[in-house]
Amino acid sequence: MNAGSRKIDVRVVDGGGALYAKQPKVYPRETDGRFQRLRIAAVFWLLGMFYAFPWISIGGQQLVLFDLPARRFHVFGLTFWPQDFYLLTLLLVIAALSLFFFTALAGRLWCGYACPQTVWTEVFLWIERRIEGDRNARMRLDKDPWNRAKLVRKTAKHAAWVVFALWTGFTFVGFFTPIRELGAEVAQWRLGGWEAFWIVFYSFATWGNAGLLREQVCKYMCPYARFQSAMFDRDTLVISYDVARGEPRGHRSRAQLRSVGVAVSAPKTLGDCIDCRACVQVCPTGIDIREGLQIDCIACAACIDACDDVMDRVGLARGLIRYTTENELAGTPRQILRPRVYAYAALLCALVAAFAWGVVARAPLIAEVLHDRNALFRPLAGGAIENSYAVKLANKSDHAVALSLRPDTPLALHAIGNASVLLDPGEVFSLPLTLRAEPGAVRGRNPVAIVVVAADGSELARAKAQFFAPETP
Amino acid sequence: MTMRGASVRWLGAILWPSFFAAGVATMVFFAVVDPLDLATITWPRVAFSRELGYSIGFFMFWLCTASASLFTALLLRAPARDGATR
Repeated sequence: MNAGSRKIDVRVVDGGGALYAKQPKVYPRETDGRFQRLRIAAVFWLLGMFYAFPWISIGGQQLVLFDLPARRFHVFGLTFWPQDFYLLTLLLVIAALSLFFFTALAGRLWCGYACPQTVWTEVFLWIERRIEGDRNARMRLDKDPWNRAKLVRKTAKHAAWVVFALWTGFTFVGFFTPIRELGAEVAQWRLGGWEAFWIVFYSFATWGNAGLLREQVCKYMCPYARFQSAMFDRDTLVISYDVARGEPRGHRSRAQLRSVGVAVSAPKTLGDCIDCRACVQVCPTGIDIREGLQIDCIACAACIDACDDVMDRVGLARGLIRYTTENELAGTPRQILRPRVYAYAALLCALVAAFAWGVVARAPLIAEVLHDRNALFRPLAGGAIENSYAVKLANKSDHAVALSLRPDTPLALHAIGNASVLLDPGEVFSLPLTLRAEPGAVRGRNPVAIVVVAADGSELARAKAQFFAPETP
Repeated sequence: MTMRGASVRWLGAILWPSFFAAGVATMVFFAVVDPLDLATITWPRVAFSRELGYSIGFFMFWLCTASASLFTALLLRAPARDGATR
């Protein structure tokens, strides 16, 4: 290796006491290839779900609606209540564990293919390309002094960005307010204050993050970028440059290029890297993958596609930059499926099963018994004792339920009157209940169970309560 | 990045993580507590909507988390010595 003669990319920072060098703007060059097609497919799939879901209704109910004012989440025909919050917690744990699993398996798959930051940046870049042209045209445009043509192009770009961002913000709020009503409100210019605020807020965040900040979000704002290295090991698939094969890199003449494939046995003066810098130009975070794995790499695989394309054209084997493991580069066979991956997978399966069970086994009815706060018990003439309760009932199902209450206890208690009610779907109701013990039958504090039964006599829910009576009659 | 850039980054490091933490805290808190219940035990005579409750809750959490972030940022700053200004 002639590392000694390699030029290191350094610059003198201009004075003025600033300790930070200004980040040069990154102009990622467009590229095509199998990984880029995969990423575009991911963009269509993920953003398709985001933009389409609020508009889909089943049975008159929006497919996904987080109805915060009513404290109900509607997801795929299921209704979740605040009491189901533990399911959301479980879902977040599953999401975190999935991140561990996929990171251990193949590095920053999340960043490259699924992160909203990447996905929306891809769309904003596409808009930029359509209006300002390819990489060279964009760089030229930015260097040009301000003139009419530049002003027109820049204005057009930002206008397109803002329209797209506003549509994104509108869709986002449409997950919290029924989107058809929201659309009508926008059309009639009578949007509520908070809705307007969040549409503008989310639009601004989209425009700023995907349009202006881009790779800086990944480099400076994202916590995952900082700790993901803890999940890597030497068997994790990462995007890497094959130093042994590529170095010493260098330009070569056309004649030399053609001979490389033929004269393999001849002593090589140069490695397979022709130093065309295609991998650097396509990089959305502006790094040189040949310098090794870096924290800035979001694993978008653009450099793989660009390099494969170049290798095809010069007649060399693909894969100078490829998904590989550190161990493989060092000469040991790759071992993707290893105990760590199995452990994550097993844990993930268990949690997903628990989540599915939790969703299916949700109680259709919540019952909670509150004892009368004013008096522990009420003695009647003749020695009978009464306790009063308010039974809070919530019908979590999507149909009306007729129900009644009865105590389930070995004590000689009976309910006074007819405690029954018909609850509409989603209705919350406080049903009064009075229990009476005949003279001398009960003493002191006694746990009782209140059973909620449906019209057909089946038990819907059960709640605990206390029945109080004097210790001495 | 200029001096302005450095202070933008300093501000970002305070506002962004505190925003994130406040969002999580708001979610967890209001999953358990109904803002209307909270309103009845605090100012029962003032008419609150749930949206207003969520918003007040979020900004209160953000104020707390941002204060903590600011405190951390101040502690991490090198103290000025010998009358030198930062």
